[in-house]
Amino acid sequence: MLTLRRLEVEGFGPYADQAVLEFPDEPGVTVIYGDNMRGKTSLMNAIRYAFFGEVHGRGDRTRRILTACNRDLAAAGIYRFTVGLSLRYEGDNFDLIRVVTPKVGAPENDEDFTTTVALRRGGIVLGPTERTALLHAMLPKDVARFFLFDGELLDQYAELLISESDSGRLISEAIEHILGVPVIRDARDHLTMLALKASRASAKEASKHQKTEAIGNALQEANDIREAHKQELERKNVELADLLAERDEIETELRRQEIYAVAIERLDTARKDRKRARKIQEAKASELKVAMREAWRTLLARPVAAAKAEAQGIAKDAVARLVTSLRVDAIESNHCRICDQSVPKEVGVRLAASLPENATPTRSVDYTGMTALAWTSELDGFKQKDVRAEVRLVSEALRQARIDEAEAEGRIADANKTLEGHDPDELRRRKTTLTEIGGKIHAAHDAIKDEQKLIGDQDAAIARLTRQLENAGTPELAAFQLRERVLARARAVFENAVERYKAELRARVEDSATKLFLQMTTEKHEYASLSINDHYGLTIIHKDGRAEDSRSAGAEQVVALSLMGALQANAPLRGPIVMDTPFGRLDPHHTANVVKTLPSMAEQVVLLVQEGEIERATVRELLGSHLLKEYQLDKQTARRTLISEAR
Amino acid sequence: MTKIERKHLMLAVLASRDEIDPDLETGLLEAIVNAEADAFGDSDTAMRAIDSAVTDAIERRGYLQEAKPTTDAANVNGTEGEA
Repeated sequence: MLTLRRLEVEGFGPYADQAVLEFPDEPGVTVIYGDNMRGKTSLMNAIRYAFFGEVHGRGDRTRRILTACNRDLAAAGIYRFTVGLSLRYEGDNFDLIRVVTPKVGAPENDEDFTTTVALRRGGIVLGPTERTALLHAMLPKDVARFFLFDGELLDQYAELLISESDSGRLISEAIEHILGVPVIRDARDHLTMLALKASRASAKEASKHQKTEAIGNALQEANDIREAHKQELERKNVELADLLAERDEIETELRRQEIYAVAIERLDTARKDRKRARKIQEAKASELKVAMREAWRTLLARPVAAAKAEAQGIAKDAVARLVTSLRVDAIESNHCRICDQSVPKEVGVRLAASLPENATPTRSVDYTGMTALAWTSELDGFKQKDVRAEVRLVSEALRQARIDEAEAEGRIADANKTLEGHDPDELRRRKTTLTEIGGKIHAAHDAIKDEQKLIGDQDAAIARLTRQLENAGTPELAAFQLRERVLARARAVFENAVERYKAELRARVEDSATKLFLQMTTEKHEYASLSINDHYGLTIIHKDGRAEDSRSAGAEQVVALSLMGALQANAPLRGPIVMDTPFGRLDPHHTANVVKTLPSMAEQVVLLVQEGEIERATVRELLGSHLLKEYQLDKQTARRTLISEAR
Repeated sequence: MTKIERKHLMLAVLASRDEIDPDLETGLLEAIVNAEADAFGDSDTAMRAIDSAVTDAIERRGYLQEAKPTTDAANVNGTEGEA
């Protein structure tokens, strides 16, 4: 059991001068009130820094050492800071101190600082190996998130509900760590290794005797092959872990720069749109050029039609005149020149009656009709084509493409403005890298499955050869084989125990989380329990048995807090809960319920809170005798904060 | 990890033993859990302690009964048969 006794900071965050928090020995809650920017998160980070030597921001992001230096002091050229943490662990008192001093006048990077760390037990300074081992045992880094957390970390637990999520898998591994699963799992793995070592020893011994030599050699070979696959599997697992860590890092970075990532996406889309608009403009301009080549015909259509009508009129008149002339001639000569036949008298009378008055035969050749017919024929050759509709369509498309280009230009300018001072190519490269890493992770998963299958094949071969060796056993081999059998039997027990323990844990965590959830929720009449999945993700179950599939951000936090408390209640590893501003998404009723529940979540609870989240009088009323101490963070200047006792 | 906290782990191990290999002695299993809990995160130390616990168990032969044949699936090295 780990408990905090005292935190002392100087030069860290807004704490330019020495600032001290004393945590009472007895079980209960210590509350630290502070407005925004006063240094609540810095106090949480000071505890993290003491344990891990890493400067954190919100969530689990690490930052440069320089960002932890008090800005007032840094402006005066003082970059030194000290973080001291007094603890009690398994009955012993410890003092953990980290002192950071600059190596250069104006340090920038972590390499520009020197860190001195000391862990004292009862006044005696421990060596580095013992210090590292003890700090790891007190608060392993991968489980620190269950002891020291803020609203952002609480938000991450929703990932546990997504079974294929890798970050959910990492969190559930950390949960199993805090719950002690690694003790049994390590035992299983170590027994496996020892059993294989014993199998190798048996095989080696067997190969010395003629009767068992062949089986012994085959067994040795099978063990060697298995070992090779096991090493490859380990290599692949390390590779996968590295890839997952890299992906997490990039995703965190991209999340942090989400606004820039969005701007890059907009920039890329706008550039594509602009390119497309320009291409359309080129195509439409070319279509317009072709259409305009024929457009003059449209302009001439009316005059050509008029000329044609006039020519047709002239030709018609000329033909009429010719016909009249021929008739007059036929009447006068009683002979038709066209058909070269005589015209009987009665026909001549009928013809004369059909003639207009004063009709006379034409004596000269009339070329007017011929010319008019020739014009008509020429004008018929004028191909009239109305391209006005086509020109209108193409022009409209061209105009739209120009508008699209201008609009895309506007979006490009906006995105560039957002990205000012940032390298979009770097962010773009990171996004590309993320996609590539996704592919590599997939391949690594496949390779791991393949290796596991190959190891399984070798295990079967080793088991078969071991049976053969036992059947052909010699007295010299008996001792080796007995050791091998004992190890294998113990391994089988631990193998089974891992799953059994995990199943029991899930049931216990589910039960504890349900109790805490029902204490904290304001919908007690509606909800019956929480249901746990294989990854320790919790789902709210209604009284009618229905699972709640869309819970609010506030409900997410209440469920996450229930999980935190349940882990504390069931973990072999126990320690304080330090929570920074965890009520951001909760309404006053839920906040009050959570505060009331705090004493049952862990023996020692430190709550960093702003009075906007909950009033001091309310905290006192809700916690009663469980409230051990209250501090407040007072603004001295914009960069300096003082800690004082509030009660 | 305190003794009380180890108790949960040990109970799961003993329940597993009762289920799949009831003849395996409690002393050995307890020694293995203690070895892992004491040397948590230090594989070499844990394996040395387990190795030595197995040697002790074999020496206490009277306390370690051999199991009936078990299935290959639960038994990587095929430890069936009599001692």
